[in-house]
Amino acid sequence: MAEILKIENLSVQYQVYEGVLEVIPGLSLHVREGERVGLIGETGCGKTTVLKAAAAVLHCPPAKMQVDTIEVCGMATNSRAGVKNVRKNVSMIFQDPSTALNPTLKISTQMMDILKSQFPKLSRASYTEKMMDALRSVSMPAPERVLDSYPIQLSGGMRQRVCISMALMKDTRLIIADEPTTALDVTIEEQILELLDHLVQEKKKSLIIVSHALGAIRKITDYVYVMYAGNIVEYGTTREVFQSPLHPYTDGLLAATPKLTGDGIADGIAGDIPRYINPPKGCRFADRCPRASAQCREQAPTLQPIGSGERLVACFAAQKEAKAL
Amino acid sequence: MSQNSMIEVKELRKEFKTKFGTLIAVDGVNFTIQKGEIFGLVGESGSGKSTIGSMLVGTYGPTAGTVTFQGDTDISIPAKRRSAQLKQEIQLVFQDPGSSLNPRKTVRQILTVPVKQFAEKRLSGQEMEQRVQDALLQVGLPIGYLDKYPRAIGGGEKQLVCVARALAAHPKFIVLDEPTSALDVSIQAKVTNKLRQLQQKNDLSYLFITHNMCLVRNICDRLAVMYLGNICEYADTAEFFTNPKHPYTQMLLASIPVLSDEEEALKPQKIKSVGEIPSPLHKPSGCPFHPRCPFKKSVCEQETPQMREVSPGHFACCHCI
Amino acid sequence: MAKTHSTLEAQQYHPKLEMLKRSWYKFSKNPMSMIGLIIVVLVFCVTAFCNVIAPFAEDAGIITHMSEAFQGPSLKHLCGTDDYGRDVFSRMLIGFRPSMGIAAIVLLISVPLGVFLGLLAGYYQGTLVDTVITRITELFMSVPPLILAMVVCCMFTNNYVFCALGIAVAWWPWYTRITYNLVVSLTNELYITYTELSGIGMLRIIFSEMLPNLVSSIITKMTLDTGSIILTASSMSYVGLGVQPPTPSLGSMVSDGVSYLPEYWWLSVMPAVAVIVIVMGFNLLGDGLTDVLSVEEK
Repeated sequence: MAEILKIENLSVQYQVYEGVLEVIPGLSLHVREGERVGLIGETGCGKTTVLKAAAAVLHCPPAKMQVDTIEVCGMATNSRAGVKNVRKNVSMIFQDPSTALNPTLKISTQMMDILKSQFPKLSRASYTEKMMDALRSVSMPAPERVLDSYPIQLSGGMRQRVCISMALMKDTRLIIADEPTTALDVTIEEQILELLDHLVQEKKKSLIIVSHALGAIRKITDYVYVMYAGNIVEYGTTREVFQSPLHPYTDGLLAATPKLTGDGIADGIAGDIPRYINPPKGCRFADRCPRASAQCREQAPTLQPIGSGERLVACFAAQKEAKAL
Repeated sequence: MSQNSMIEVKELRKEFKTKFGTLIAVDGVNFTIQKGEIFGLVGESGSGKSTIGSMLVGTYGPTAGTVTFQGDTDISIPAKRRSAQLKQEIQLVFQDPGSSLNPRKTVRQILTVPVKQFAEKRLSGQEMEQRVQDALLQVGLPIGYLDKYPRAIGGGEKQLVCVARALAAHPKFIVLDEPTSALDVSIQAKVTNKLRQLQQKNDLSYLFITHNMCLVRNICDRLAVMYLGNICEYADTAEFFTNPKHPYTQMLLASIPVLSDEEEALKPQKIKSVGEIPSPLHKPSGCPFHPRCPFKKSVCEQETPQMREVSPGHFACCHCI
Repeated sequence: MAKTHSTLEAQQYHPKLEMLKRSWYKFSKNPMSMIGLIIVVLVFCVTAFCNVIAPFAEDAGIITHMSEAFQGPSLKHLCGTDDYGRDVFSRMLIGFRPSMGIAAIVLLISVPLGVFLGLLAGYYQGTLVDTVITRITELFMSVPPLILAMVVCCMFTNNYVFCALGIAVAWWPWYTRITYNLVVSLTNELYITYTELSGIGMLRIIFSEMLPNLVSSIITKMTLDTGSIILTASSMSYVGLGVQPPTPSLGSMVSDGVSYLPEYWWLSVMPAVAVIVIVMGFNLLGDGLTDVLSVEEK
């Protein structure tokens, strides 16, 4: 299958008062056509930086970016034509639907702008028809009324529906969703996730979704990357990763999440994400890891395939265990 | 009953006047928090759960109804009119640790405020320092943190400083308004467990306000679920999660994104989330949940249902039960 | 590891010092702010030591060297000489002093007064105190400072102290307004809610919790305002208010030189450039401070 998004060996640094922040030391990931991929990570692990790099919007100094490849739909993004290609093939859904929409314009105006760039020279009636279709496809109640509203007149869930319908209206192949349901209530989140899941499958798009909400990721992705302190620590099918996490961080994260079973909550993962200035030489998780050995502090583990399937993990202990089996 | 009750809320009601009309944030709510228990108040946005918390700590008084503290003290008055002792005995922790600590003060200065304010006598400098250090150590932070500014410490640690500040007053009852919602999962676990540990050690009672059902499952002894200003179900935690009665409660439970098949099996399956949460300004007539309810009957649109005891200690508010 | 290390650091270093160092790093990264800082430091030096620095300090008074009148800029007279043969450069340097003096008087009066009223109105927002202070503030804001200063100067004596008083009368409302707005936004902060619920006294909330959070914004505004006040003072001396001849002031030098344009351009252009540079310096510094002093940004 063709790779829709391919990032190889991305490294990002920031220059600040205390020194150089080595946020992302060298990260690779890929999304293949028709795949729904999740990126799990907590605050400050660099997941938004990765998304920005993927959408070719990470260019503000003091960030220093080095990368072997970033390709969207088979085309590198480091040229003017490449950026244009990104704009054509990628649409984004943001965490906060209230800031993603322009508060001074009606929904119809904002949707029209996208349509005009996509299908120039159509009649007004067919534009309206397309907009109504887009809103109906996200099961929006009373689409006529919504088109004629300003964003402030809609609820958070409805705004996110509008954002999703706008993202899907463009004929793009990759959808990047940055915490799309974090700002929403549980019952609304459920509806939005269901909708996103259904539409991405129906329209055969690829999706990369970033979130710290493990449950949401489990619900709508096929593959999942787990990120810790700028590194991918684990990769695999969503089912496998959630059922039998290999990396101690993934394990700790899953254990720390409160469960419906009500067996109490594990005590979380002791400590904090390491500072990005002079980060540990070895594994960045070593200081918090219950399975850390001397090797972990000396040498940084790399992602190695485990077993026969598509499963990668960057942990010496887990790799040894797999070999022993 | 009242011997053991920490907080008794009766027919509590709060209205806000806005330029779009009257907003009924809390609409006749009854519940009791026992001594030494963690009581969960769960709901989505606009349910009025934070409004109740604010009334208990006295940010504002209720429009109608009463709140009784420890069986005899009426606290349905704003903080300004409360006695110093009451202010000390009821403390609170906010959701946003970023905004609840003064960015221009060090942790030491922040903790000195309650120590000084609620001291029973004039403290010497050394006594003051000792109490400030005790408060910080109690929540498990090292003494070195006293000289840090809030910006230099992590979100979870900030929240622990907020807890330390509440504990420094030696309260009996703490209102926790979404104390871990702004935190990461791995940090949330630590803070939650610390809260539970401190509750047992200091014999405290908590009102735990949150939207996270899974968290409530693991920390609260009893809970109430709110929807648009009303309590729709009210029970012991274990009973509640095994046997949810109200359609909204079932919808809420069914919506939780969970992590394993084992948990999936615990969710009520027959109900699917539909519709939007109406604005509290345009509260539906009768049962406020009827526009989203799959079991709606004609009576639901006209009559507000009454709270009924479905089994001992388990109350629900629905015409269909 | 990292944690114990940072704990040690906190014990060894004073947190305030660490904060200052961080701010300085951020400030020094911005070349425009540094230019502003250099200009402002120079301006202060000149104001303090103008008698020493000025090559012909005696030219400030009534003195004539008719033989040297209307000389263009040269090494001896950097900015040329005026109609009496006096050194324009020296007169400019000495002219800094009244401008800075006016700025100092205006700020000394309007900042404490404005901030105090702003705190009061902000703390009692929605009450009668708020309404009365806000209305008075608006009343004073509606009168241009130049006109007010003219009135004051005409009513009393025409010297630069009264000129400064006049400007101050029109200036304080801006500090009331900025303080008021800041206090109103602070009352939404949870740490203020906490102190209120704990029954901590009004004075302690205002001075111990709120004021430290206002200082940075007020200092920034003061820096930016110094430029504006110097500009206003120059405009006033241009029309003959404030400093009286023969004492030089930047504004009056510009106005005196206008009648000799365009042949003897340096008479008015040089002091005008000086005013522009000073005002720009204060503005650049103020902008730089705005970036650095906000705590929220990491």
